[in-house]
Amino acid sequence: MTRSQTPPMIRMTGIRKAYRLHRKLFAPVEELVAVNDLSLEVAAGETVGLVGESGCGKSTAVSIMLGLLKPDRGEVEIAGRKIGALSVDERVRLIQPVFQNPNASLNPVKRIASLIGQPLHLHGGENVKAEVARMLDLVGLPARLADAYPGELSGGQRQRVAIARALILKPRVLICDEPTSALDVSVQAQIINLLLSLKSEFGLTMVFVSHNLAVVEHLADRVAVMYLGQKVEEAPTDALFDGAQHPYTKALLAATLLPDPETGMPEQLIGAAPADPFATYAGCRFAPRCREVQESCHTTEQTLRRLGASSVRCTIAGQKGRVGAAEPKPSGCS
Amino acid sequence: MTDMMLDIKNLQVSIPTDRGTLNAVRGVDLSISAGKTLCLVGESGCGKSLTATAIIGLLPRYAKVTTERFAMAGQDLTARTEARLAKMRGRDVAMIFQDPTSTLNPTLTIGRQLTEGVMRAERLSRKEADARAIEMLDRVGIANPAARLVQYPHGFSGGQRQRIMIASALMGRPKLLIADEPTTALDVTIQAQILALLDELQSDLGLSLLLITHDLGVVASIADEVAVMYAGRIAERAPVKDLFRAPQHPYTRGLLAAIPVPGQTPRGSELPAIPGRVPGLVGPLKGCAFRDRCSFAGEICGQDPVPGHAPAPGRFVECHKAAEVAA
Amino acid sequence: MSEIPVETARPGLWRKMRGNTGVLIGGTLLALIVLIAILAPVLAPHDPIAQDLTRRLLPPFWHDRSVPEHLLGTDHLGRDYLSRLIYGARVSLGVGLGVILVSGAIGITLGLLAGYFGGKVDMLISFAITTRLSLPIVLVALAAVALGGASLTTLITVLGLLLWDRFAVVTRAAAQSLRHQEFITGLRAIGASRARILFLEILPNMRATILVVVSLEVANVILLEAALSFLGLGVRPPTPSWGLMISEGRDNILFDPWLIALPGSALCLLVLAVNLFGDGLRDITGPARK
Repeated sequence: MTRSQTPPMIRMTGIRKAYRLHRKLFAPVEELVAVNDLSLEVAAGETVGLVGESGCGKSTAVSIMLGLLKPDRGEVEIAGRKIGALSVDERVRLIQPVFQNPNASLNPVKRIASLIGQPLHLHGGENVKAEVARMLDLVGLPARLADAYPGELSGGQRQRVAIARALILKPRVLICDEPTSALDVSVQAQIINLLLSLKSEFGLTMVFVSHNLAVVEHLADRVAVMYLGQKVEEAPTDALFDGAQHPYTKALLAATLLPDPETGMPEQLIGAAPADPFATYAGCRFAPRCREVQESCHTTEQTLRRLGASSVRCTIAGQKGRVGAAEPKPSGCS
Repeated sequence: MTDMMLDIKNLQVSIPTDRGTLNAVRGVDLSISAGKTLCLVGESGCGKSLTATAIIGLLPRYAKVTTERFAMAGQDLTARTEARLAKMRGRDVAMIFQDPTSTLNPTLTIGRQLTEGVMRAERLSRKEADARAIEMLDRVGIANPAARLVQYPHGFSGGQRQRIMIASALMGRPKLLIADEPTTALDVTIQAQILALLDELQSDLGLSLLLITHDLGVVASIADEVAVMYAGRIAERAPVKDLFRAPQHPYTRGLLAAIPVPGQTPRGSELPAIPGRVPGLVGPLKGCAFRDRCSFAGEICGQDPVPGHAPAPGRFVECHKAAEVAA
Repeated sequence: MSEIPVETARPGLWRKMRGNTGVLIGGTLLALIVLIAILAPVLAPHDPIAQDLTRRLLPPFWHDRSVPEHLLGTDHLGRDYLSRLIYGARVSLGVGLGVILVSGAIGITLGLLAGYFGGKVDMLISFAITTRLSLPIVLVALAAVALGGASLTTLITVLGLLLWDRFAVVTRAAAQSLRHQEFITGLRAIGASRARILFLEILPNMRATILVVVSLEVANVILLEAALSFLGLGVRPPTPSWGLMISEGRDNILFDPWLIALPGSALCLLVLAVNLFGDGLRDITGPARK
């Protein structure tokens, strides 16, 4: 990857965040490592997909990226500046989120116009009313909805409101946390189209968090896959979908259901054992469920390494003669 | 009609609300052959869950349900009474729901929740019931089932809970299993496992399966036949391969086109979304409910009744412009 | 029934209120009593504290001994009973309102803080709630009156400082369920201050719940005021309070029972009205009845 002089829009380095929990009365406090050693760079104008299942640390990573949660370790830089050094006003004008559940992401007792205008109102904007009208139009909502309450709108309309609210301050980065997961298929396509057109109109940098690989594939330039708090694989979208390296990524891809009856039942490349975020792992965190597991996986600490176009946290990925191993691509760098 | 596990004609469900009567299901015909899987697919508010709940007779009392014909597991239940339906429930028909966490009682052991129904219905002894519970847990892939009977739901993961729900549904050895979005609350890798389990159980036990979902990927992987529901009616019905290869209803076409497919849909291209939103179902609805969002719509589409066509054996489509759409 | 589409999920509170008999009856009664209290100087035929020892213990109008000027008779000091009852409504409602303002402000603030921040803040406030619940109100009031003397202000202060627990418990629970909603994260992401999030965003979501608690507590306070006044710990004579009137009528209970029956009925009616109203409100604002 060649890097120009301008810093990436988002740079996370070595992020770790753990929660201390009392799981049982009188039991000692347990530590849940939500995110461990997470590094991610997103260039200006790029869309990066962040993929993983529940409990993989996506939401924690989003909160840290937004500057709402302080990591135990590691740095977050937005547009070349440490997020802790930004004032609230600067931060808010740089980075904004859109959340999954449009029912819960809008305060039900506020009217649409005041919801959309609120960021501007809080940050000393003028002409709030005119701006709100412009945003309503931009996200394809009729002006008459300005006086409605969120409860009177459909899920898709509410998601449009959330997007308008996130964009009214003209931020440079949009963090989309599963923005289409709660929507119906036909509405999901509308929202994806809207995000695509707004992205090119505003030159937005986007992080798109989702468990839906098909949607991520459609939107993202690059994809990072997370498992139990760690990034296990990162690759340009095509490379990831054509030749996933990490066994977990392969399992995810195999489990993704396509609207095509010829593909039949999804292949299961993952053990039935559930992921346990409380367990301590000497080696690979995915080893207990991995189909390609080897003796050494349970004991060897896994680190990210380059493999073809990807960066993979798996010591056995790319080994020749492995069952189900994808053909390693000619390695560009070491 | 001996091999019909479920045969329903003109099912209507209406619910009184404070803004008028909500006609949630407006004349649905459904049939499932023995040992087959029918997927009822549609978006939220289309009435698919209400249809399922009406079939198993679990709708609240204020909902008004009427049918012209209602036969299940070889019994005519058109003049259905609460008592007769209750008898069917848990024996010939069982249902599993979307969220296994809220359908299992957290204060009772797994064993108790599995056995309670059959002990009453079939007058099994505790020992017999436990033996069957162990058999069913083993069948759904719960390791070491005998030891787990005394555990409480919180000791299980989401995927395991859904397996337990399936075991619980199987306790009465039903012939028809109704599954309402059984994998929607689960992670994709777990979803694949549960679908494979349902598929396996169905062929091993000769179950008929009515699976309700909004996910066309789920439909493609498990269905024999598909019924696409829109605004309380079946818009199209077809064998699964036919439906995905050559959808005949404009709504089905729109749905299929709106899903991005990795490797096929060009990255970042505009998806052909269906414009607009689902119509409200309070009060009467005239003509085709989809016409406001349909690119084929013309004047005739506002007329009643919307004609049904059978473009091929086993297929059905309800559309004024079926000929034009097919061309 | 998640499938039923929400078309307009906000059929006005007004419309629902009109459809609920409890709210209708309770509300009308309550409005009537409030109106009487406000218009007391206009409505009362006599000065409520003017004594006329020549016309002591006159019976109400249904007795043959009754006098037309004193529709509901007079008490042992010859004060017009109807006027005292009318002015008594002022005391009951005034104390109710005053106490609720104090206790509501304390309880809602503490509950919001505990529910929103959780952790140590929650532990501390929960401990305060438990401590408060272990204090017997009448005994504490007794001690306070002994220190500060019986007066309306003391009464309102003491009750206000004691009765915030229910507000705290309810708002704490509501804040706990709201704080994990995505809109709170969204508000933090647009840089909204904590005070704004707590009082301008979360609090309005609890309007209905708080309204119900207010109605329950008002009824509670009115009864407590009467009880404390009856014990001589509340309103000081000659100010007319229904509790005090019952207390003063005690000596003549055998011969002139109306002295107790009339303020007692007034008290019953007011509490009934408030409770009917509150119960009805809870019904229509709670989860939809099926």
